[in-house]
Amino acid sequence: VRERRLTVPAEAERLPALREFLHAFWQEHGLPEGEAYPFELALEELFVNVVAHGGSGRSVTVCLLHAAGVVTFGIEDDGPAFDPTQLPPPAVEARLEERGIGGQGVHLVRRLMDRVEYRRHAGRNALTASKQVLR
Amino acid sequence: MNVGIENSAQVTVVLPQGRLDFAASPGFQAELEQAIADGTRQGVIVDCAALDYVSSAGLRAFLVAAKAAQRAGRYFGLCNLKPGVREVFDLSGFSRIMPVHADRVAALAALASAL
Repeated sequence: VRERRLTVPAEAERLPALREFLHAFWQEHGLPEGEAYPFELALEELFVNVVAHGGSGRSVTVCLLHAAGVVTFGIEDDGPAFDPTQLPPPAVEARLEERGIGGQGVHLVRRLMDRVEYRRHAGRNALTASKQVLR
Repeated sequence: MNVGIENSAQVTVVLPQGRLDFAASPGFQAELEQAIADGTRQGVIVDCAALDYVSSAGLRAFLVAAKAAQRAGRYFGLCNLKPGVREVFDLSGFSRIMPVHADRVAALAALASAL
């Protein structure tokens, strides 16, 4: 079981650094390139959510864990309580004229990952998303 | 992100390259809207052969463009989606609200028969 953590300010400009952190972890663990997409998406969607809901001046901690072929991505922040798993699902059956974009990011993360869980603990939001990438 | 543009008499083909993420989406959306606003052509096809990644922010650009094309009476379709990008279009329902073709030949044929 090996874990890596990185803390950055809650600013959208930090996304490229977080992506590099993810790619370094992927290479360090020799994980298949074709399995990285759901984690890149979770990183972007959940980090952008924290930036949008938590406001600036706060920090965000991202962690990655690989154990027995399962990778777990975690993101924690000290912003106001916000559980994105409680957002209503997007109207994926709606026609073009009726479609909006709200809620799409979290919906995609939930569909692409095996598990997504939210906890509020000690004044922090903690969201984890995990998926089996090796068998 | 780099976005290639190929114009012929009937169609503008837009070729996004690399990652269509939160940072790249506004510029890409502007490229699509400009191509759709060009009244001398019948429509726009986005050839996604070199598109590696799309997030919900990238989907937003496609949605805005599809709606603009519908209002303008122009064809708007996609082709050549890589598997990861295709999965995002399928899970979001976007491959049901805008035409997604296997390749550029199929997309051009659909444009020709739609107008």
